[in-house]
Amino acid sequence: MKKFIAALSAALLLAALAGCSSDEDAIERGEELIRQMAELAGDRDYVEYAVSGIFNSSEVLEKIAEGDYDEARHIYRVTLPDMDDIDEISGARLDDLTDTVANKLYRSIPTLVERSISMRTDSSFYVTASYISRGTTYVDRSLKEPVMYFYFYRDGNPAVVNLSPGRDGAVSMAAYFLPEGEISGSGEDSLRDDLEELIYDNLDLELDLEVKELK
Amino acid sequence: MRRKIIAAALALLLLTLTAGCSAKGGSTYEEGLRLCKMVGEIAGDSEYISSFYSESSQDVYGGVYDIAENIADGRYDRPEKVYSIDFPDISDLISSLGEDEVPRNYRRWIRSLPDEDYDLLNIRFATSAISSINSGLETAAVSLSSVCSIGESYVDRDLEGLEIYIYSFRDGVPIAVFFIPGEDGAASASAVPLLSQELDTSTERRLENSLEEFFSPLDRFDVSKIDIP
Repeated sequence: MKKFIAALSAALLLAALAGCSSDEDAIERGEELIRQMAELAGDRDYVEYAVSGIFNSSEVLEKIAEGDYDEARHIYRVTLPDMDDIDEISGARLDDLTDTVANKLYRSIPTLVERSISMRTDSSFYVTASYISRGTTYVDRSLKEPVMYFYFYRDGNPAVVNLSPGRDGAVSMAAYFLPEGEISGSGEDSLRDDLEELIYDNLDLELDLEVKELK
Repeated sequence: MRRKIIAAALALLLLTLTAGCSAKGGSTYEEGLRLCKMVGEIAGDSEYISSFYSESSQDVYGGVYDIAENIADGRYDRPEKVYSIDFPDISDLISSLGEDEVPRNYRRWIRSLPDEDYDLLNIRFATSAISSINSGLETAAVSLSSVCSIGESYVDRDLEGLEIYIYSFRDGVPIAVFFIPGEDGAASASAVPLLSQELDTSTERRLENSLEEFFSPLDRFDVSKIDIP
């Protein structure tokens, strides 16, 4: 009997691990989206019919498409602080807002960060990159706060994959390419400092980010 | 005794599995209504609304607070009618424009797309088209309709493709909700208030007519009523 229960517990554990290993699963899904975006960037027809007309977009996309996105050199996970630890966002005090609005603002932080990085030198990169951005929704009950995964490649543009918790365990994931050389991929501390400064300058927000190098 | 333990262990296994990796589906209608209520709530949050519009932009965004108030004054806990919109897809658009008006290369490209890409393009086409019902309005209304829009991911196992619902309220503005299926039964929903006076949501036929007017020469809109539980 003991053996049976042990086997059952093992199976139980295995099932739980296989289905829900959060980071590993997210990284793989993110990589898939990044490859799809690179493919789109290299699709001449798509660029001509769906993107054309945007200032120097074809140059930007060509450059992205030339990269090699099979394997990232570094992957970092950046976790936002709990919403209760944030006083205000974009000049609005969270306490003065309804829960719906406070939540909406809180969940928009990763998008705002991604946008700020893309627009650091000029806004055209952001516009172009958003034409090939890809996203998905799936189930991950373990996700509590919004998370950003940063991917850096030896040869290619860096990318960010934002993951945001929804309801009943549903999560939404959105991937974007970033311009080269705008954020540091050379270590946890430098990425954290870089992002915190960017958030302070652009969003007028003092955040303590948790940065972990996963690869 | 033994049987009881096994039963309990199995129940536990089942519970962990469902708790860990999947979730029970909620209804599409309920999720949409939840978002409609949120749209009303956002419009009524003056602290939030005013953070978008500075004193100096008043001439451009004149009337923005009146419009917000008008949305917020509505009652969104129970819709009067809910319609499901079957939006024509891009191939329908090409044929209604007339083949000559669409470059041959473009037509060839559309036809060559893998199903998955074609579906994605259609989703973007239909959702941006419906949202564009607001784009002919004055600047304040256009801007406010996006400031008050909201989306979230949720679980909806029955959703098979894009669904577009328009909720109409006895007392309040109509709200469009898009439901887009994802993986593992997860889905995303987003709601946008429709602020055009031209949109007639009183009956299926009238809604169909106003959509056809908005998107002429596109026709073949199929509007059906959703039962309100």
